[in-house]
Amino acid sequence: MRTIKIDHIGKTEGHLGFEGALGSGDMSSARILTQEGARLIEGIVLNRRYSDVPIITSRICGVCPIVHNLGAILALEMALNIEPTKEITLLRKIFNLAQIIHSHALHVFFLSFPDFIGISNDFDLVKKYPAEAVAALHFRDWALKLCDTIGGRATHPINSVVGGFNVPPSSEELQVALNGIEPVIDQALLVVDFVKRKARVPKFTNPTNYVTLKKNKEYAHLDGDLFLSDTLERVKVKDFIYNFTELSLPYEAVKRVEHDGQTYFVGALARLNNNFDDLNPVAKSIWEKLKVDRPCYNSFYNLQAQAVEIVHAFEEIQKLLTQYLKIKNPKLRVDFTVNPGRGASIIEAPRGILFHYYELNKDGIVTHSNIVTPTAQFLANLEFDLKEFLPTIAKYDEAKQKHLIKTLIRAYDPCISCATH
Amino acid sequence: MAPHKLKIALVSLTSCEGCYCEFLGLRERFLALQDRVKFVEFRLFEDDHHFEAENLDVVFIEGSPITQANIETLKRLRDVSKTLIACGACAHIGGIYHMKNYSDAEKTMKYVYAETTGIESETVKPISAYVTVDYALPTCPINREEMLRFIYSLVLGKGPQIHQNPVCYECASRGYECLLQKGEICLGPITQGGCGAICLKSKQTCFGCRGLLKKPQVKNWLNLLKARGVTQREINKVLQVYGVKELVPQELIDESK
Repeated sequence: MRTIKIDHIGKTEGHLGFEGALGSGDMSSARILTQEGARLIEGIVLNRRYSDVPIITSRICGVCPIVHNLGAILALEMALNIEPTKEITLLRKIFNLAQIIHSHALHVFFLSFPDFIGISNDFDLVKKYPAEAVAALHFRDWALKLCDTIGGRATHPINSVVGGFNVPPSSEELQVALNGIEPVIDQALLVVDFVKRKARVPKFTNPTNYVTLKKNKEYAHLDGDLFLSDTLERVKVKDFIYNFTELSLPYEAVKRVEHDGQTYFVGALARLNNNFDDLNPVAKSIWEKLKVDRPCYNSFYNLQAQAVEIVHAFEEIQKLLTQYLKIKNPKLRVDFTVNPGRGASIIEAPRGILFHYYELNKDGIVTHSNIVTPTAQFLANLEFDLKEFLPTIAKYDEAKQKHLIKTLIRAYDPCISCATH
Repeated sequence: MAPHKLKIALVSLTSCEGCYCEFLGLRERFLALQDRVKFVEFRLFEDDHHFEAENLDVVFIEGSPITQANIETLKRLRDVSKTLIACGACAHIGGIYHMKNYSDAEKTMKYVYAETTGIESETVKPISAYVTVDYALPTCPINREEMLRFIYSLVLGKGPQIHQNPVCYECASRGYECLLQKGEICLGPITQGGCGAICLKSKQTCFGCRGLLKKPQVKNWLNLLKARGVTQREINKVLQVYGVKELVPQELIDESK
């Protein structure tokens, strides 16, 4: 039995380390060490007005603030019996897709992909592949600008609130974004194709339960039912929430999650496995050219799944933005009165399904809250993967073992800031 | 002789890392910075870390020191760097997580964690509570253009400056609707500008994330709100959000009066 310890793992959102032991078969163990302090966000929102909540929760994560803004808003709207208009939902979908693009752009090209070609410092990556780096920053920037237009600001949005949007986004800016989308898609395709060609994906198979949203004829991300790939069950969001367990353990700032006592995978690869038929055509063809069986049980392919989703999201935004701009005088604000109630939401964040739950009193003050992030959900599955993966790399020297362990960890795109919150 | 490149570290304590994400939005201008400075630590961009061994010219600190490791990192960085900059509202004035301090610490911890052993969550303080801070780059999240200006002024050997305009001035000059006039609690008149009144653009009142002006007229501002029927309790709830409550004269905001 030999132990492997990695104290510092860079290029992830939030701080983490790894501790594992290499033995034969079931003797291996693997543990992710989270190194963030607890900010107690669920405690901070207590006794505050509902309208403060999305402002606070977006600060959970600087990479994916929009999903914590939208997740809170949708849960609070359920509590307040608010029915958003078609236009509001349309705009929120565009907003979320643009968030997925810019988060994936950072992760795919700068955080995870370099592992697959043996580069540990992105300043070297940028020097070696300047055209691809600039293209990645460019299409990411297009998505960020679109988020600025819709949300008032991409990082920690301002304009997206309970009841819709405070001010209608400038239709000129939206039109300019739409007019410029084709060359941006070309840049995304250049990067995605480059990642597809260059990344050497390790061989590994470890079937698990893939949990995602699901809708008919839409690659679900903002609404729908939950779908569990192991039982092919399609369940209502509220029924799922009662069956998972958050595990609060000593010295663990992240509460890991299990469903019916089992680990499960959430995120791009889960979505691709569960909802492949609903991908847009160009995105679909990119995965098909990889010639990898589906469902894909190799978690390293989360990198490629994210790349495919970037293209899908661009195609989808093009469709939805065209649709939105045809609406005359979109109604982006719903009137409502405050009432006591409770509400929950599940949306697809870049890293997988995200839960927000709130209870309000008659004055609209928060009396209970719970937030369960994608990373908290997949962390146990990542450890399960690592435990299975370790014996297959026993033959390598320590440096290579550590490199492969970090490659798998980063392929999951863990966000420890989110998970700790 | 090649010019000396400033050695810069970008370090995150417990945070959302949104400030450095914003910084990356500079795109080519971020990449072009490599001609003038050397980033020796930027964990979003490199796997290894090595700041402990180096003498640094400039260190940016993002986030809150709320674990013992965070506090030690912060102090060590102060020892090895010539210039230390608080980057973003958390490091500068406490930021959003600072609100944690207004609740019963133990009760809140137990509310979030069934098992609290070994979970670190120190009282949230600005980094100036632990080390001497040379400059503050304010806002939640930082403004990337301002950060770039900061870095270039340091390259030129000058101290970075922030103009002392209230947010109100920037709001009015852009023609946004005044929410204070409508009786909403807006910190625009007492808050240091430079954000372009970005929140007001979206009809969101200013919560003061850039911190106070050098000579804020807090009393006048409070009188204005109270004349419109706003209570001190309501005002204090808003002052809590980014930690501005700790920056104003405490006798002015006493709820019991």
